[in-house]
Amino acid sequence: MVARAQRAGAHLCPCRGHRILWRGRGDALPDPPRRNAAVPSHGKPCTAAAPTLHPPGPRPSLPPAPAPGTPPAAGRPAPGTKPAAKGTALAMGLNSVKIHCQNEAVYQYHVTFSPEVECRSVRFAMLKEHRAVTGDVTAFDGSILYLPILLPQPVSLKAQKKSSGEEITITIQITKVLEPSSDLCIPFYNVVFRRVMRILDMKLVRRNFFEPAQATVLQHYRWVLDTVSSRCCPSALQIWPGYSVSIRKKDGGLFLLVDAIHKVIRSDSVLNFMHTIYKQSLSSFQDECTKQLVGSVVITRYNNRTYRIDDIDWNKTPRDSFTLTSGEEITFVDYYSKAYGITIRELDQPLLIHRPREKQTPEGRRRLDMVLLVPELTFMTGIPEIRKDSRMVKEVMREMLQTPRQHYVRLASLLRRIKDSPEASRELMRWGLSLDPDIHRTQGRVLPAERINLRHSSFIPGEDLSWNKEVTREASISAIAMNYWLLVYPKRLQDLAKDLVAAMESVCGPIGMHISRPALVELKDDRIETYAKTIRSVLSSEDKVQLLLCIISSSREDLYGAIKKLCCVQSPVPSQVINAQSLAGQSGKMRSVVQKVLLQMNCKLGGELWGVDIPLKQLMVIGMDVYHGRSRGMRSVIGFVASMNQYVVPREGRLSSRSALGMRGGGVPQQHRRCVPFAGKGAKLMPSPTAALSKVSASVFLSGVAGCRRRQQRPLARPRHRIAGKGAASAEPGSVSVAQRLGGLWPARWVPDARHPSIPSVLTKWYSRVVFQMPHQEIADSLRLCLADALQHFHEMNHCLPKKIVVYRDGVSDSQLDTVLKYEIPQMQKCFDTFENYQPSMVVMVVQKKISTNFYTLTPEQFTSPPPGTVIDHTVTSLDWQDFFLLAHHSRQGCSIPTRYICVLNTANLSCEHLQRLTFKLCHLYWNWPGTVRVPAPCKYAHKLAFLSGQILHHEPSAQLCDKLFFL
Amino acid sequence: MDKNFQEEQFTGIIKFTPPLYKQRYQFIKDLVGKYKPKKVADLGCADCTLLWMLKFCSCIEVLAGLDICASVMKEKMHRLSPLPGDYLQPAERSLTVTLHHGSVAHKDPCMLGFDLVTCIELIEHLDQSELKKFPAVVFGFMAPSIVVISTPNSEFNPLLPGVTLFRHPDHKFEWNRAQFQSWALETARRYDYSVEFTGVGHPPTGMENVGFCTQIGVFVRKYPQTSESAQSEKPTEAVYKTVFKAVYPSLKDEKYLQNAVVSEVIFIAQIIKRSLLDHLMSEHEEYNDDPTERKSKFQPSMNCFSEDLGKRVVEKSMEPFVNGNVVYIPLKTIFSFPKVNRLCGTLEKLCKLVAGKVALSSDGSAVMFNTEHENEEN
Repeated sequence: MVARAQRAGAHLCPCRGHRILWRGRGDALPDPPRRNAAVPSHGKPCTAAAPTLHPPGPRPSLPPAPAPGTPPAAGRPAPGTKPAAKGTALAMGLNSVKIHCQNEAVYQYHVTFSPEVECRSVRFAMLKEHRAVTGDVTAFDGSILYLPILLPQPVSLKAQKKSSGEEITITIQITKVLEPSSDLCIPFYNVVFRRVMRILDMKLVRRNFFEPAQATVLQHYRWVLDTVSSRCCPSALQIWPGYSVSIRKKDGGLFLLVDAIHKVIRSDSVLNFMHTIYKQSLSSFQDECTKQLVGSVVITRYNNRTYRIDDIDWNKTPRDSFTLTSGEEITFVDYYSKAYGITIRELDQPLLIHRPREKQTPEGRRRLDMVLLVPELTFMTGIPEIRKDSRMVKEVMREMLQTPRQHYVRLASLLRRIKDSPEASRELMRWGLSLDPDIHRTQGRVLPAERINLRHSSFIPGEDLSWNKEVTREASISAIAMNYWLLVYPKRLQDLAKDLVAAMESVCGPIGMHISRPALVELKDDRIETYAKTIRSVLSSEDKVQLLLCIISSSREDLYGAIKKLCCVQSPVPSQVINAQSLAGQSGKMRSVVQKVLLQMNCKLGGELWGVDIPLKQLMVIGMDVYHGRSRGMRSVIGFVASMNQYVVPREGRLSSRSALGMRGGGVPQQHRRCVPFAGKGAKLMPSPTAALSKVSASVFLSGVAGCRRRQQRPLARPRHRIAGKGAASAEPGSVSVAQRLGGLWPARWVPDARHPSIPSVLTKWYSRVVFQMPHQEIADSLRLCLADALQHFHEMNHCLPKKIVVYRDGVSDSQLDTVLKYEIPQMQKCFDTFENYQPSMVVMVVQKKISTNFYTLTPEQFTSPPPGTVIDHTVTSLDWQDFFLLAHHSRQGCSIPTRYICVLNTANLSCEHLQRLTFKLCHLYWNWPGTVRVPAPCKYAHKLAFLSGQILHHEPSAQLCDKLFFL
Repeated sequence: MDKNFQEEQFTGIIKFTPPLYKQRYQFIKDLVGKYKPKKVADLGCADCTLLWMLKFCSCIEVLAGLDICASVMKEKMHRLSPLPGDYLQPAERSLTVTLHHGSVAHKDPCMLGFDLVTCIELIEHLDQSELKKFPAVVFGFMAPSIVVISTPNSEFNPLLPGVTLFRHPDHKFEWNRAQFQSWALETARRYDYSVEFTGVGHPPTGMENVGFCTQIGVFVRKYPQTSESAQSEKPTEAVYKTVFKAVYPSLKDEKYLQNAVVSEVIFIAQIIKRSLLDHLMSEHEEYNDDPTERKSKFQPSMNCFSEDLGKRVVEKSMEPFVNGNVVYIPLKTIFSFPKVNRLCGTLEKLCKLVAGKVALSSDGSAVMFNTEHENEEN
């Protein structure tokens, strides 16, 4: 820790003068002088525009005007003036509390022991004996000492080694005078704050604090579970309110980041849970236990530790013994009785295994390679894997939902409790820290609304940024005619199947799809083998199948998996599975479900639903995400999705207007490799490439790729989809109800054919790949391969290569940012060498969803969620990286949590403003949801793809599906 | 005591296994196991290690610590707080842990009424004047049933390496056995206690004559304290400062009791309801198209109900019944289950605890369930 802290200090301290200039800007939002960015700017001041004010840190530095091919550089354009930004200012509250440092300085000392004292704890004890000199307020790590006071120099003290009686001289020498907000102080400030939380009687569980005394007990849940099961002790779920708190240094200074959180915990033991499983599934008891328990985190009854269950040892019992540090052998039963007065009741239970992560312990203490836990003495945390019981999950979620107002009230109550507790305030004041009485208020910006383009119309969506009505009533940009498709259903659902076909026929017209009657495949029962065998035989005899639609009688993971494996891996064909239960009910419901399913199937077939205007030329956007299995030792799966069509400068009278594109509806496919019958779509799939050809293709040559086969025209290989079960018709929960809620009102804002957008569809074609990699390796390894393939495909479609590549990389924590920069990015850049004379510019954005930053809109009396499109790019942003927070989605309940975007590379010279707008535009393009989503669509696609491959297929999907959104 | 002593051949260096301090604490724990005191105070509790060990003894309901140094107590006092796990399954006993800052030379009413007071390695830190007041405070004022006092045995010191005068620089004196015993006997006599002497830390073979490394006196009050004598000379003024207080969640607390009872009531009621419905369903079986799936699901609860049913006496008036879509299960029926009975004690208490938490019939005598609701659940 010391070493790292010093390193950071070395970087940051010299720049302090600069930092002061910069700090505080976030509050007032003045318009510092900016330079016009090269690209059409809708600019507004943002931190990114002031690169010179940043300390040289991990952030890569950038020459003012990077030529193509310059080394990695962050997205900070050269300083200069900038026109006032588009978008409106918005008064906002953040879940951060400003910390004021009252002390002049913090003093750093080096402490030496002579003769040398090896043991750290002995050093601690010796220094502690000299409290009279150092004062009570110290932070000491064994050699470096921080004090809020300046000691007269030099200090030399005596101590005696207890074991040998040897006399030790302690010398305390000052090394640095630090600003009280120095990064070096942050670690022990956090220790201080943990003490404050403990003074308030909060319980530390892992890294967060909770108040179990304020628990909500969900009684209902318990019997829902028990009815299916057992007579053993009742179980209940408890929801503990709590806080995650940390002190961080941000662009706006020192802040306490607070989030009001919850922990869900079962109040019966793991042993009880095992009994429950036993009653349910006697035969597969052990497998089922392993499945349900491995990967979950348990808390013990006798101490305050949490452990992740990695395995279960069925051969051990509490009567087995282990070795204490003293060398003594003791049975678990005796140990718990002696140490904690706990009597273990069941002597035959198996033991849970936890394998601590490899990590170095200070002074090389012996590390246990395995921890054995007694199920009877442990409790499960988190929401248990009772997926079926959606009512329970809903209840838990409802309990944990907080409106922005409630969230704020909880933060305010914590601040008040700290203030009202003299002891807590005193603890902070020991280091001269004091908290603002309220959360931090500042200004954010709402990005301009984006226009949504359909085939014949375009519109600006309403405030909630959702356009369900429009997409179900207006023609999609392109629709693939379903001329030859299969409908597979069990005999007992034959009526439903008929209704389904009828419903499809009635709703396909408005969205511009043509649907022929399906080939019906009726199954005699709904066993998995029946489905699998029939599907396999039909697909092997028919090679013209465009899509396979399966009706299953209930949400069954195994059946779903079997169908997907067949259709995504073995005989690649786009597939859609519908849970019969989601179709049952009122006809209105069926209609809206069918609408969603049709749109989804269109995507899987290669159709395009809607687009937004993205006026960046020769752009490729890439999304990446990684799926990790629940249990350790499973391979991680990288989903990689790249855009295949690009913006072409519109030409007068040619493809420029959408009316020209409108004729897409009528053509005849030019080439079909496998299947023939769907007319209509193929030709118009790619207006832009054609245009591109004339304009840019000559500029870039592919070394290895000859004849440009129009790959994207190959009629529909096959996509895939997910169970249209509970809310599964679309990826976002509640989509159906939204449709219903909107009622029959035709939104006034929608103006049919109001204008023909002059920009052809862009970023509506996607190429995807999946890579399996070694266990728990977050950072993708095979990027070069993925990117090279994507570029080749791009060239085949457009006869040119992209000049700008923007990568959105999901699932990277702060500590891994450097790895992305040093390892992933060079790997991707290396692949450019594969192509002759090819040096595109590149932007890499890391996408973080699981963050604790929250926004509220401050209206006079109310706290509400800010509107979608709200951006904050100052004050709570990082000192080390260029980052911003964007809230793209509209959340109907609870607090809106924005997504954090960190620009780790920007050789494209895109301004911060542009990055924000591009990002927001991309959040409009996830076709499973007629609205904005919280991350850019390519990320969401990559996530779905990785999840499908890792969770269900356990295999890479067939390459034949790579140009379809088969994974939706 | 013998089991604690594992002395190797005397090699000139004394090493106790387990360490001597642990043997002292274990001695107290054994004593607690023997006498089952409810209220225990540790005078000179220092870093609260003994209190922490004692909090796991299930007989203890009140634990108190006293020390002259607040900072040493505060350092690790938070380990005396309830653990998160304690809230998940609150214990039946209540437990309150309090730490006081003050001197054993002063009387404070918060130290009254204890069953056991321990003074482990305390008296040798007291100076003359404090030591003089000590018996009056502990034996005269606090007057617990049992007092345990341990102190170094100076006769053992020559065997300890590096010990010149005293074992610790803060010790004001270290007594030999005769000195300690005469002080103890005199104190016991004056305050009507009997005292027995023992110790921990056996001397090495061949040196038995020096006695235990730590000498211990166990004082037991001869006569049960009458309420007047206890009350007679109470100063009412509090002189100690409370630095820490933790109240453990327990079923003695209405809030936790209510959770436990409601949980149990819903559980039992649910089983009874299932069983009733199963009966009904089996009657209608022939009309039902697809009963197999549902029936098999209910089977286990049926079994366990009959198990429970067998254990209790069913009165006629207690029988649950179905009316339309609603199942009524009288609270009386539920009360007859042993666990509910034990938790609540009386039917009135049960009614009071479940009121507002569980759907009850209009007269409040039965738990109601809607059977319609049912199918949604699964």
